[in-house]
Amino acid sequence: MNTVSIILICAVAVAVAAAVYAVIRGKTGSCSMCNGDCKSCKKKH
Amino acid sequence: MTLRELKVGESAVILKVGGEGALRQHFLDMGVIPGASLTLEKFAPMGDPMELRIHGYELTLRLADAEKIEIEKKTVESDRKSPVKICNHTEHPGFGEDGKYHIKKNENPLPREAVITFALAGNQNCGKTTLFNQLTGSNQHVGNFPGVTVDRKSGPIIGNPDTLVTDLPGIYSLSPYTAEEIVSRKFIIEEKPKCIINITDATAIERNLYLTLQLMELDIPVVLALNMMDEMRGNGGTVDINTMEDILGIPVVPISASKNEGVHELIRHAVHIAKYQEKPGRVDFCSETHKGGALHRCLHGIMQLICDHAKKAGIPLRFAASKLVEGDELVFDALLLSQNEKEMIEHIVLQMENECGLDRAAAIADMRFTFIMDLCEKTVVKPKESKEHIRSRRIDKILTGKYTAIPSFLLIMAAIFFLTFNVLGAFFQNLLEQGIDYLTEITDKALTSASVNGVLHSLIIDGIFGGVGSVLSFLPLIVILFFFLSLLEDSGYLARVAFVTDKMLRKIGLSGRSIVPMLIGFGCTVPGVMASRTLPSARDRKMTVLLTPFMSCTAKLPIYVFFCGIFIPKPYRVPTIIGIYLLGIILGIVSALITKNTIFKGEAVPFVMELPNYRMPGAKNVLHLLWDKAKDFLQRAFTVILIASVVVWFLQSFDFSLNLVKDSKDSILATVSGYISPIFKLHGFAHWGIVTALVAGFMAKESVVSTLLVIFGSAEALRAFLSPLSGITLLVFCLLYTPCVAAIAAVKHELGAKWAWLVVVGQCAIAWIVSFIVHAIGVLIISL
Repeated sequence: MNTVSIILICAVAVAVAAAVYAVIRGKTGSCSMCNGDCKSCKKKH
Repeated sequence: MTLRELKVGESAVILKVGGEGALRQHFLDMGVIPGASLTLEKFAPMGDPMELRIHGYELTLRLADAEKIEIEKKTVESDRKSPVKICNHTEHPGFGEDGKYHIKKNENPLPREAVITFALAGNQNCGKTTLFNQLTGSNQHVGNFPGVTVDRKSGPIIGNPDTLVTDLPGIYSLSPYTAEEIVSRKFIIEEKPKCIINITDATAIERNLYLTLQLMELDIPVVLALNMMDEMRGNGGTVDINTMEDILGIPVVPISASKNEGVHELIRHAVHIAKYQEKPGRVDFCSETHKGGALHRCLHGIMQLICDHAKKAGIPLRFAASKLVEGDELVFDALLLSQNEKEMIEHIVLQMENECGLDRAAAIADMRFTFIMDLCEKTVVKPKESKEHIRSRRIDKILTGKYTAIPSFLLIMAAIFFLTFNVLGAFFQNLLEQGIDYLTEITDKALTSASVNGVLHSLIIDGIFGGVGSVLSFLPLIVILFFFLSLLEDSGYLARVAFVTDKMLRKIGLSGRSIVPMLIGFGCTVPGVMASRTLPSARDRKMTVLLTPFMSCTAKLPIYVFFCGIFIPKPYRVPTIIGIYLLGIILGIVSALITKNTIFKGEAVPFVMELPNYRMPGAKNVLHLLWDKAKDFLQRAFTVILIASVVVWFLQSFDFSLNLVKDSKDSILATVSGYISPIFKLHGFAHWGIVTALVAGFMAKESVVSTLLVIFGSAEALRAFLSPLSGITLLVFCLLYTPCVAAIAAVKHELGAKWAWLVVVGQCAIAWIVSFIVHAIGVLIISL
């Protein structure tokens, strides 16, 4: 495996970890129109 | 005669308000009281409900309810009295300022470290959220129909970090009628904010002041913000602020929340009276002479009787007495009165009813409105008919006209869908798609030239670019559809749609107000479900929530466009998408008819609603909403959809021993989904990949498209696998099966876990049955 592959693996891992973290924190943008102030999307306002 | 018998353009004076319970109280709170003048403006296109003009605003109510209101016809004359000459001799009382009212030696300020809590209260659609945004610098969504805010929101005032202002849903009185009004009443009474900022619409000041008087009875510092003063002044009206402040005994600040005029002065006054706890200088609005002073003696007698109980229960004395006269059970219970005391109160109230000739609820409303009329006579020069109102009347001739209302509604909806899918949306979508394809191509070439590991190459191109990239191209469609929906909402047209469709919706057991959550549901099911809170009955709320998932949300749009792009010839694509939307609506109607005669037996709630003037949607508000939608969509694409794409790629690339599979049929995903897929054998899409896409769609609907592309590799591969009939069957299944997890969470929040499960299971069952029928009919047609 070359250096570029290793860097890319790390980048993908970081991106997925950040996405998982955002989902856990509820920052998925899953709720529209309420601008994030409803309990369903758990966002703070 | 009754109100029902009045003809369009005729005026009358109310003699008696019949009916009972919460609805009657709501009528009284809206200013429908004996002695009030009204004019019948028009009937809805189907002859019911009717639109009245009362206290300077438009109110709608059904003929059945109008029958309960007795009136006496008036000769045609203008309700508007000739403008009184305001002699501005009243010295400025200086409430809420470091002036004569605030005496240093008597001051009792809150501790320095205390957070000053403010409640922002007012009638529906009077500009509370606009003011909240100005006060806090937030960007909460504002609209132009009654009941946009359904839950409370808080934030500190700009430049005052020790403050917390809470924007509450609009209420007409402290006798709660709908669920979101209960949120406001609970907050004001139970959480005891340090100060209430009471925002009123100066152009409909009589009705708005009705709540003000009740808030003042709570003995909490109140500052009165007269909003829309620019509109009032622009049409020749004015308010003698000094006299009004002097009579009410609270600071009165003229503002224009939308233009940010007077807001700083309002903040200064609000912070001052909250900090020094300067309570209203007046809580008594009864007159010793009006109707023989019967209510005055009644209220003061009760106040003497219950003062110890009110003190113990921590309920303001005047408020408690008024509520006891109205018969508020919650206050009766909270005061822990003995049987003897309850009987004494009943005798006092009966005596008052006999003396003044009004029943208890009407007497209290009459007292407040008499005080308000007197106050307005002394302080308000009413504006001539506003430009906004003249414009609204002209527009309404077409949009709510007898023969033009329904065609106009259909035309507007058709134009929205046509522009979204065919003109603007399609253009931008193509543009973005080309950009994404180009980016995928150069990334693919770069990875190949850098000799990147094959598995990693597949993950990036097939997993991430194939999944996330495919969904991203639908961004323009979603933003454009939201743009049009926000125009409908902000312009004030949604309230008219409710007015026009009330009679039709009553046939399926709902009221016109239910159309608003359902139309919002076309944007997103979550706010649609939440908007059902504006409905005053639990039955209507449940029915509306159950119907909202039938309205295709924008997240399902990518699925429709994707499938139609593959299986439907180009000229028929837009009609097919519109047909899918219509199928959802028709099935919603069918299910409403079924539930109306089974689990939701009974009548729809009365249609009592205020019709706001049409307003030009604010560019900032609309742009902000669009940015929010785009941001939400991008966040979802790079979180849920990214994870789903990577997980799906992994599960379909490896077997249970974590060896790379040559054929995805041997993968983990194929094995697991293979157990479920037989349930779709009759539908023609019993494939593990499709089952996986449907499961992923439960997290976010757009994931259906990304997952299918990750699994099948390309749209062509999917076309090779599925027949057009199976594709359409799958499309119908996607239209109807369970809403996404965020929507289910919203249903759980509004109606509880039982109903959330019912939506999940019920929608899946309906989807399975209907798509099976579609497939069976298709097979039959093909075999003919």
